[in-house]
Amino acid sequence: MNRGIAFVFIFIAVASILMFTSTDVITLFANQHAFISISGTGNQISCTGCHHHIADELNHSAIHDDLNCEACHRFTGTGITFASGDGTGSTPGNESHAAYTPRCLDCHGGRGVWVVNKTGSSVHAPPAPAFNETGYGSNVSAHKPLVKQALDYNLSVGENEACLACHTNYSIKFGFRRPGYFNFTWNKGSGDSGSFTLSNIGYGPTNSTTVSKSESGAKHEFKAINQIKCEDCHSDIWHAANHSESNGHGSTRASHVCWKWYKSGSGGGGGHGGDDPMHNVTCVYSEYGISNCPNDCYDNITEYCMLSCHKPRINPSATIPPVFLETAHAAYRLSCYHCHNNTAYSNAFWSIPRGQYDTPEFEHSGGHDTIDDEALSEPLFLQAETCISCKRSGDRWGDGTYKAYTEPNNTMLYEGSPI
Amino acid sequence: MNNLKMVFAIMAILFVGIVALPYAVSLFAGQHTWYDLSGGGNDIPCEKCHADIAEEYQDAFAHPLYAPHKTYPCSHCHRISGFGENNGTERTYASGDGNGSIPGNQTHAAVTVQCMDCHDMNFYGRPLNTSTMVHHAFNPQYQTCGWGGPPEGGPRNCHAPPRCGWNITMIRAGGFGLTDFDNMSGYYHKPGVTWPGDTGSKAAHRSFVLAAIENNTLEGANEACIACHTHERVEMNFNVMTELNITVNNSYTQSSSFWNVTGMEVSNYTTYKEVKEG
Repeated sequence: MNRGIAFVFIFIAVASILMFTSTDVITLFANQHAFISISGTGNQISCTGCHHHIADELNHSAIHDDLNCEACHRFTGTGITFASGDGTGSTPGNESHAAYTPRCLDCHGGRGVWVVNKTGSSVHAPPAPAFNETGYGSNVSAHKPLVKQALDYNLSVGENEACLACHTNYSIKFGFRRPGYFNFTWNKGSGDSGSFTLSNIGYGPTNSTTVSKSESGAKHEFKAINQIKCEDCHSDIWHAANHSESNGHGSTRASHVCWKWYKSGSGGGGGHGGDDPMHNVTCVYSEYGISNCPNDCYDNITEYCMLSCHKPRINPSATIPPVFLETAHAAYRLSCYHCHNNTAYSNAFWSIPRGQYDTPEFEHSGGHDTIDDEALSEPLFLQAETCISCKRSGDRWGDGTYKAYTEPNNTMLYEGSPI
Repeated sequence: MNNLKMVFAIMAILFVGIVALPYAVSLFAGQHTWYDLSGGGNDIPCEKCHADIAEEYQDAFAHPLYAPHKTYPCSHCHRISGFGENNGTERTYASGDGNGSIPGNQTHAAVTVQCMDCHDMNFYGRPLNTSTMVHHAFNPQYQTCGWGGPPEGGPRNCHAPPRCGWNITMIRAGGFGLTDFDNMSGYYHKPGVTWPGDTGSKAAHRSFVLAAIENNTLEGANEACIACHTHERVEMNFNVMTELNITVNNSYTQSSSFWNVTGMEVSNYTTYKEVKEG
């Protein structure tokens, strides 16, 4: 009975409320008539109102955190007319109304541009060398194919995928496909002056290596230059090179790079320090807590990759290989022969371990004889493999059959036996 | 004693009944108090039913730089006429109550407008050579409100100084590529005042506007306009890629080898919510 009375009272109460309130009209979306004033100068509509997430990424960014959204997304340097103003001189906008998705090269192409940062100061957006040139510069620029194809794939604006890959915390998963190994045979003609020939060249089945640069995925978390690590994308190469263990033939089991060979000491290697060339991978070991470090001279693997090979410090007063007269963005695409094939280049590059300009030459004479000409007639990747395999075998001067596996595999065989 | 209480209670109820019964109580008070429609303009207060919207307007007056539209009566937008498609005859409202009165055609009291009815690049109103001059710009109401823009106070009116007459260039919203270049004559465009630059080819929010047009929650592209240009609360779910898969092939010939990117695709999407508070 009490429950029934309570139900009646509740019903009466609800009905009364409905009767009193049913005449009110409720707007579907509150505040849709509360317009934002756009009369002032600049942009009054808060980008971060809808894009907190990106703003947060930018606040954790090593660079560009001094820029507001408009510096990039309402950049007028490419001739885009955005909507602006509401009185005399106002414009409705042409190519865009509020914002656009910029190409990184909009600011970093050409000679760079000046933009105004959050504090009102003009700051220079530096050009990205090589990629700021028509056609993205020289083919010796190692990452040119990535930039070029990024444009063609059109996944984002312009070449941005390539820029984001290295310069942000965007995650990248690479699938590197190479011949699994190379076969080749060196033959030497009779007599001391007999010519070398390279024959029986064969390529193994394609091997695919996956390398993951696993990051936060944030495209607006930009890295400072010193935060970019070669080994993030090229860990397969580092894996092949990073073998300091002796191979029993006066060298190590490292591949991709030759940094030790049997002609050690000051008398070996033509007096250039066979045990201590600038490519010595152990020169970065102390950075990683490894004590086997004869000369702690590279701060990290990236510096090792760059200064020991792919972007060395050039002697401004020396004769340098022509390839280094061209502009590369991050790294040059090289084989051993780009630097080591002419006595004229003997002081072209700075050897950090030796503390001097020093580039051992491979003369086309003496022991090498025609061996270099043979190697140079082969594809680039085979040029380096012939050098490295020969050094790892104990410098047998040519005769014999080699099998050199490719990165990340560091295995090399001479006459079927590991070297 | 209990019987005596019961007698008093019955007497009280009877007394109330005798006094109150002659009165008939209407369910809705005031329903026979009619508004006088004989005056000019709109005599029915929109605010009676739309007090919340009126309040949004009142709140804006406290702002030092009055936000757009705040000085307009409701009818400026919701009874706009002489404008838009079909030579401006698309909207005929009920009006008047004597000679010349109109019952209303497509609408009676008001329309829900698209922001782009006034702000797009296509409709200029009736051609200048019209003899009837029914474009709303010729309505005195549209030429008097507004303060001429900040910092003096208030937003600029569409047709009051420094704007004037037919001039709507200053209120157009371009950069979305919505100009109908196939209809470049008559009431669509005033000759010489078209906006050929309206390509929208670089507009970051163009897909948002196009999706809003397709969506029927609000009129036209209003969802997109309101999201940015008002204090409306907006929730957005962004689905973004966080990873790029790149296939790189070391190709070769007998005399050369070269790296070539043979595949590039995005992956590993993640979703996050953004809330723009009102």
